[in-house]
Amino acid sequence: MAAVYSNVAPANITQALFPQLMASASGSSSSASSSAIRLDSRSPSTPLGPAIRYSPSQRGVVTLTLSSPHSTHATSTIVQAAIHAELVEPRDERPYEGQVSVQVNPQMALSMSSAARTSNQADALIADLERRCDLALRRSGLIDREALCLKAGQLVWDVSIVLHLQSLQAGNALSASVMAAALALVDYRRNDAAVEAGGRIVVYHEDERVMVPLPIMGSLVAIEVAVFLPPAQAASAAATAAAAAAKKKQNRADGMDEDDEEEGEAMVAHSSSAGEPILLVDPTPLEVQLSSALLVFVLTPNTGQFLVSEKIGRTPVDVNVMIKAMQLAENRARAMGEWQEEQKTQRERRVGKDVV
Amino acid sequence: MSRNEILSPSLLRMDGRRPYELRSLELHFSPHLVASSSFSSSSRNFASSSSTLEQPDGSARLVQGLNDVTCCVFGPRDGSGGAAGGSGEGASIEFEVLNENASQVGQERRANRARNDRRTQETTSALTSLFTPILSLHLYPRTSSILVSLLVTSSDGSLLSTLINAATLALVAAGVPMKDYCLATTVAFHPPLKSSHTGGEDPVLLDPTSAEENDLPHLTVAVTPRDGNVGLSTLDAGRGKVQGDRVVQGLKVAVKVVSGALLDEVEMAVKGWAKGLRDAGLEGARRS
Repeated sequence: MAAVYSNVAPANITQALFPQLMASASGSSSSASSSAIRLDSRSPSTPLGPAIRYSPSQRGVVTLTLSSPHSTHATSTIVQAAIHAELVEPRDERPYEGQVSVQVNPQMALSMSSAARTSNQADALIADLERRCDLALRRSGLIDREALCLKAGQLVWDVSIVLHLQSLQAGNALSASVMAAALALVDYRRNDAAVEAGGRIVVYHEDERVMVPLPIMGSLVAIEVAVFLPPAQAASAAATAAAAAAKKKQNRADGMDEDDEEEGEAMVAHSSSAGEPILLVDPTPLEVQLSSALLVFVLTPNTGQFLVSEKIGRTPVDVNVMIKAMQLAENRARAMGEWQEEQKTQRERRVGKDVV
Repeated sequence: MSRNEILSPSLLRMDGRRPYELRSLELHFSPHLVASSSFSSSSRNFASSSSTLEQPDGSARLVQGLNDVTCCVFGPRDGSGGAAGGSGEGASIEFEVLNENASQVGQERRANRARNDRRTQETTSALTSLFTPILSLHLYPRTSSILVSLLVTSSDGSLLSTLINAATLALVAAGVPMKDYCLATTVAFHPPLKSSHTGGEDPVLLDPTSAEENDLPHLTVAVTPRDGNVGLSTLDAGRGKVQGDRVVQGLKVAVKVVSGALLDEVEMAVKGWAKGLRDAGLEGARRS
């Protein structure tokens, strides 16, 4: 299993996979990416389907599941976000601001993961996730920290977001985490508190005063896009052999004779002439590992403003491909934003009736 | 109370630069081989030829404005190929960023910075994933490893770009084969100015200092200049957000700068250094 820092996937695997990713695209180059089928039967631009479950007893605890529309329940990403707010003293250098802390708890996902995954890989993945969640949830303006201040210099609200990663089998942990956290933050209610005349601070119990929502501004979505670059123009021996091997599999022929080799070469030439980079939305862990590069975005759904736009290492990629990926992300973000809004309104409607 | 303007209405920055102006660049190759005494004692001590310290195979010192980074490359050398065992197809490469005694412009010098804090770890892992596909590591046996050690003497904004450029130069000086240079620059996004000097486009500031970096969202882009492909691109929006088209604009500007002005400077420096080596070699041959 290649380590997470592998530069490019072993060349022969990518090149063998690439023609199959464009399986139905014989002859036409532009429709290649739209008519291809991925390993989990999605098309390149089909995202994972989200499903949400609110906790029946507590407000602010949300479980978000991302799964492929065709696959079984076993291969899905499940993240639970739990919000809790309490009063603390503010930091000395920021007396007017509340505090937000984000914690990622990967225990369950790691224990469930396959034995083949090395701990290095998992550690790096969790570290990346923590960093991006921190950027997206804490450092962004999603939670208005100044509005969390109760009494300057003395008491502020400390909002802690704990993300329990229950399963990461379908990848896209960041997307699930950010959505779960965003919906949980909107759902959570904290105790109302006030500063009385004379400076005394009163925290009201939920029986005394209605619980108050947190100051959330806007919403966020996170999207990952995997880039697959077409195999290089110059058909090296390995490429020819690999393409021939792929062709061989399709023809169910044994051994490699002259005809197969020629066909292999023709196929490599064909795929490189029809070679446009393929962009996969919401890539699964296998797709991420085999991809040439991974682009991660966190943005606001309605206005298309980016908080995080990262392409860290792996194969260098043309700027235009990155721009295309950003546009893909913006489109997808709008759809995800609409879904989030819908969930929020549905939740509001149900709250009075079934939920406390 | 007056505030320092990051960009004046007449498009002058705090240090007097124009928006598209880079800071002064000094490229020194293999400073560890320089026999004459140099005033930057810290970098010399680090790579000195004393018997207690190992001699690096290549080093470079990059001074960009007030950023001062010295990079030493040790290897490829035999060793336990590191925990990850390389990419499985060649030598393993390890980056190390030493920030301990760095003086940061605009901040008080802190006595003991935690060695392995999260920022440094993120930088190290970014550098590793950036350089691994660009270096031809498959030419070396699996058991060999390359250690790239970056010592930050002083930092003043755009540090990641400077680290990447210094690492590239040091790897060139060490003779590690690479597919292309890997050069980086940082762009900061300034909100639109009220005046119409900019001609309608929102100003983008190249190579921001730490004051500009703290206030503005910035994007660090590493590019392989020959084909203009982007190796690394990270947006740090601070407390704000950046509109999609501005990010695109920043990307394009960065690629253009790296493939143009920055590449010219680096190529000139590399050719000058190589010529110096050749002349020194001819001189030596002539004498013997």
